[in-house]
Amino acid sequence: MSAFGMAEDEVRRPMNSVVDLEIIQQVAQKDLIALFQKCQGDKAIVWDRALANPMNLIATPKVLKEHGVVRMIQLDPGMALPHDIPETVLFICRPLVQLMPVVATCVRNEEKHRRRRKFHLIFIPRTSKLCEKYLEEQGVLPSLESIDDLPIFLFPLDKDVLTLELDSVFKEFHAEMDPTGMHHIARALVSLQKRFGTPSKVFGKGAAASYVFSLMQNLKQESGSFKPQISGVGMDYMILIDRQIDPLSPLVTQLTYEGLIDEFYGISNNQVKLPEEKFGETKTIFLSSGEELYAELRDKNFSAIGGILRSKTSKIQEKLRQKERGNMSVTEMKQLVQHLPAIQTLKQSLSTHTSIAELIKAKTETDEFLSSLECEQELLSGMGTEKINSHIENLCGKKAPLNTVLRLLLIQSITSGGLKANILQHYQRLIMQNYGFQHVLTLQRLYAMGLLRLQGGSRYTTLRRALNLTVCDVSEINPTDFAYVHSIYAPLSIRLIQHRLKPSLWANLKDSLLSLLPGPTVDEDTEIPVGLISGKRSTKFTVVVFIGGCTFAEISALRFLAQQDDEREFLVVTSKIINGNTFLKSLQEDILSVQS
Amino acid sequence: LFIKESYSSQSESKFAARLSSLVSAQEMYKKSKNEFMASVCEEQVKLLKYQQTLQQQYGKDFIDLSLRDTIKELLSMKELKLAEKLRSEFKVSEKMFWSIRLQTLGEHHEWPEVEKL
Repeated sequence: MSAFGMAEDEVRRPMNSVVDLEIIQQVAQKDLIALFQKCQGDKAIVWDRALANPMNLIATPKVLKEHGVVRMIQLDPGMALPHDIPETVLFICRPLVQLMPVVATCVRNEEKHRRRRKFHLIFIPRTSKLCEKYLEEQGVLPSLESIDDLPIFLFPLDKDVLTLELDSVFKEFHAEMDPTGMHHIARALVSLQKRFGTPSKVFGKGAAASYVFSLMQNLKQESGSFKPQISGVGMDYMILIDRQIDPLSPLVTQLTYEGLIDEFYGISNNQVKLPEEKFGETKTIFLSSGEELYAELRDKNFSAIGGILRSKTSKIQEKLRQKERGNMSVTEMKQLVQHLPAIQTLKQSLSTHTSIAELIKAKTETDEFLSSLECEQELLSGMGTEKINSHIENLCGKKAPLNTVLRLLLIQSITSGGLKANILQHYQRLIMQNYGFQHVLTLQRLYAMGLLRLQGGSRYTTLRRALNLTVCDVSEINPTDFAYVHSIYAPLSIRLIQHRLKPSLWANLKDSLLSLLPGPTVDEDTEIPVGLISGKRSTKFTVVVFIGGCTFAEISALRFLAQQDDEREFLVVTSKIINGNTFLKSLQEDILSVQS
Repeated sequence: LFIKESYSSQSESKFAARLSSLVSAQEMYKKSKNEFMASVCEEQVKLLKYQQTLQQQYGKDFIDLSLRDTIKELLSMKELKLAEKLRSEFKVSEKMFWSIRLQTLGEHHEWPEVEKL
């Protein structure tokens, strides 16, 4: 494949042609609107902050407007409802007890002022007895006209990505032994199977993976009506990856276009806010594969982006120049006019992405970025993992962002298979002395979760060799291996999937590999009645579930695998899209909230 | 359990309560033979006490600054001696101390001072 701007002439294979995820969005939207119809007339929605964005993927503001929503308000502690809202008010929130006081206060406030209001409450994805109980105790339950739940578990991010928008299942399950998130995931997966068929094989690794697997079995038995079925789709594998088997990959800097945008600016539900310097104002941009250019750019290593943008731009200019010169035949003219709208859109997205690429380029050329990247790559290649890393030390001394320090520290801890006691203590002291004592709690948690470890058996070195995790000579522009997503490092999670799916590779590695990774293994063939197997299916369809989140780079790597294997399609289901910073943040969360 | 103990030290904003729960956290760590954590807690108690005195002396917020920021604050107030004292008290490495010093001077644009070093 030529990387130099020829793609518009190529036939690109669609990312996922097997299942139509739009149906998930449509069903969810229909359910939401059915609930709206219970209450007549104009209405205001009070959104739980965490739901407002993902719900955008289900029903756009335009659709909501069409169904009588005239105001949207965010549910915040200490808020009061504005005066000029319609009579009907809908609260839409997650079933979290800590949100209930806010709802209760709003309702009581309005009653105190004797305003006539009709309140409705909608829980996503399900009602909680605890919440209802709280509202009952507060005496506001009678004021609510209705309480409903809307079972939306999965939000389609793209044609091949579903997210559950659960921020901290990794911490909840592995540090706090709270399996609530696992139930959500299991339910979501069962509903997915009801729609798209049962996988013939399930493979999973890690404690959370086997937990979810057994929950799924229970749910299927409970419902009774669940019969293994093969839809036209034919899901051949469901792979459950517990983030715990590979905490390293999210910590490594992503070097794909999309990954870098996320690292620097944070993409949330396909939206990214960019600073004013390039656009004159803070600008929110929607990123999805619906945009042809972005679909092509997103998964590429950033070093390839400049070339593509340049050649595309010059090509367009050439076309437009031809038109101006006027030396075209009538048929050529006709063709051009037909293509004109498409060319205009392309021109627009070219200018947007050139600006974004310039922003990112500036950031990647700073000393801090480059030296940290260099440090990271040395550690990944197994260099100097034993001793105190002077770069990490210097970063502490300069009081660089704590996340940068922690990321490198954890990378060192994982790649060295645990740090020597005195080295670990040295780092801990450095962090406390520079950043403050309160971070001792974060460090303790990381230690308790095994992310920061004392020396003991170097698993990484063995894994690196067995799975070829670092590849030195991968081309960033015309890659032959998905290690390009981090320039030299291939995410362990994806390597594992790659090997599992190739019987020849798997047979050799199976035993040694599985014993190197923590947690139990699930490897089961579901019995499927022979009659249901409908001939030979040409595409194998694999659902990859990341429990505890996955990065954009990992998704890019999977897409790369799909490109190489004509017969395989992937669907990614993740609890959340993460990167090193958000991953660490989810681990510190409650400590920060204590501080504030 | 021990972590919880120090958690409570975080949530309580009152200085005295905080100090006492830190001390008990320290004892807990000692009992569980986690010497490193015990010594870390001990140091933090010492730092908090220092900060309390400094706060009274200068009428500036010192409590809850990290050790580094405390030293930096002192340096920018030109209290070199006090800063040196903290340095030796808490065994801050030579390298780190100088980097803090340089940074402070730089921020205050005292280039002649930098030359002198």
